[in-house]
Amino acid sequence: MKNNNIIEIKDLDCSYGNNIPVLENVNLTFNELESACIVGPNGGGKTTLLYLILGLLKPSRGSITVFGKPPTEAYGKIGYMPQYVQLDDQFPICVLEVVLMGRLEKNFWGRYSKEDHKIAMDVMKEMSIEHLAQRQFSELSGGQRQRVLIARALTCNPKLLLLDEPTANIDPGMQEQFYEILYKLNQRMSILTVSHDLGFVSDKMNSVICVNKTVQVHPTNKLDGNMIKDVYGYDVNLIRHDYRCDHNHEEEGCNHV
Amino acid sequence: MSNLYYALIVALLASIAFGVIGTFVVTRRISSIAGAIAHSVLGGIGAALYFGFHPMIGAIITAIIAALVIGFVKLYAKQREDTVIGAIWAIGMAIGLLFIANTTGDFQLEDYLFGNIHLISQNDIYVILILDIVIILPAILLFNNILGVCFDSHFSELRGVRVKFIYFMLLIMTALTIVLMVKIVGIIMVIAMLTLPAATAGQFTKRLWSMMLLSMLLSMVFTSTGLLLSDKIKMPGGPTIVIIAGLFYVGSLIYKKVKIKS
Repeated sequence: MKNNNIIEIKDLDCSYGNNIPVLENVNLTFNELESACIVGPNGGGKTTLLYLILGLLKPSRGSITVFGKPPTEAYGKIGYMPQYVQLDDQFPICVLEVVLMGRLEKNFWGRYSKEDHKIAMDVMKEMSIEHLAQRQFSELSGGQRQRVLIARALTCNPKLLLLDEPTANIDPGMQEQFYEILYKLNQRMSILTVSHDLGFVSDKMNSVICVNKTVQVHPTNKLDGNMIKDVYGYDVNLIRHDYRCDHNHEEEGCNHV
Repeated sequence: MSNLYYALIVALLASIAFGVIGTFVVTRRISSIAGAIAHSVLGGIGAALYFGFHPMIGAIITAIIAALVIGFVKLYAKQREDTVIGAIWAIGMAIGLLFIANTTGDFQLEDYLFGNIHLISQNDIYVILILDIVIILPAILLFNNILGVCFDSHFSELRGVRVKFIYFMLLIMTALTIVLMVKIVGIIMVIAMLTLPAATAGQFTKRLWSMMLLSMLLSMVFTSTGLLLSDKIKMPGGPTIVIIAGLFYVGSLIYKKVKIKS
């Protein structure tokens, strides 16, 4: 049987120029068709971990492989969705042009073929944004932009989808809808999201990867207040919107820590 | 043929490159880098006058050196980018001024600082034609890659686009473009022609290529009306062109504001 670990991180340290490690002694495996949410305090190393997996950063110690290869060689199988707030919101570009960007493969001139256009249209249909194709990206709402960026990531035909703070600046109704989309996609690809939003580590995700200099993995259904306190180092206000009291049929409600 | 005639041809030809590159400068927000390259060009012009070779060649060489230095510092040296921009801006000018102080000849420093159409000869037209092609050809051929890098360089890198190559190419194309209009509007004001037409065009267009076409057209209108008007009222050409471009830019901002309110 083939090993179905798609991400393997062994004894990894990562630091920037000043030699103070952002991540220390990280060991992590991530399986095919698994889904996980990376959480932790700001500055704890969430984005660093994401960039390591993407190959945009190199570890200072230890090893990382994605689909059995160094991350920079695995890019063909990875779809990446950045936070849309990182993008220039005045840039003159239409939705179709953004989505097609996922087809910018290693061909030197970067021309799009008919097939590229077909793939882009199919993915936009899947995300229900085909009617927005000619609209300017900056005119769209947060929820629409988010779907455009997922569509762009999907045109790469990824086996692993990485999302950076996908629910930031999205209203709660849209967030719910968004996790439904992720759930569907998870049937055919592995999903790793970064979130600052603990309340929405939903039951749609298999596990939670807690990052604060070190990394711990917990199954979602075992996540509780003490674990959060361990990771953040202090009490946080945690509201679990999805808490289900299966035993005594109490109303769904909030579990404050 | 008169200098005004040559200047008009140079301005119209240069506008093509200014439309394309100005759009990148404005959307990629590198106008301060472009400003530093423009001012450092005086170093090359000064060296050319001192050693007795053609000022255009001196300008092209220094512009490219300045672009490469800024690019390397930004990508590799982890220094504060704006400090480096300020350093290159001032050091380039200082070198130029020292060379010029030690050169005797029938030229005026102001001609290079603020532009003078009397500097323009028929040869400039050929040089500008060649530079136009060198600048515009890669921009057309690599359009999708450049669009990707300008909009989202991380994502483009993950798709296998040579982001650093494209970035350096853009900086060098910007450097060459600056040289095209130095004789008309001068090194101090050339940044206006790189930003104002594109920024004005950006108010009315929704796609990168349409922004380029409109800013090309606007640059042609601003430079030719500026040159003709300055000839009529006996005023220097460079400032006249910049004032016209500035008025249109401010006008476009006001128009946009009023339109949104109504």
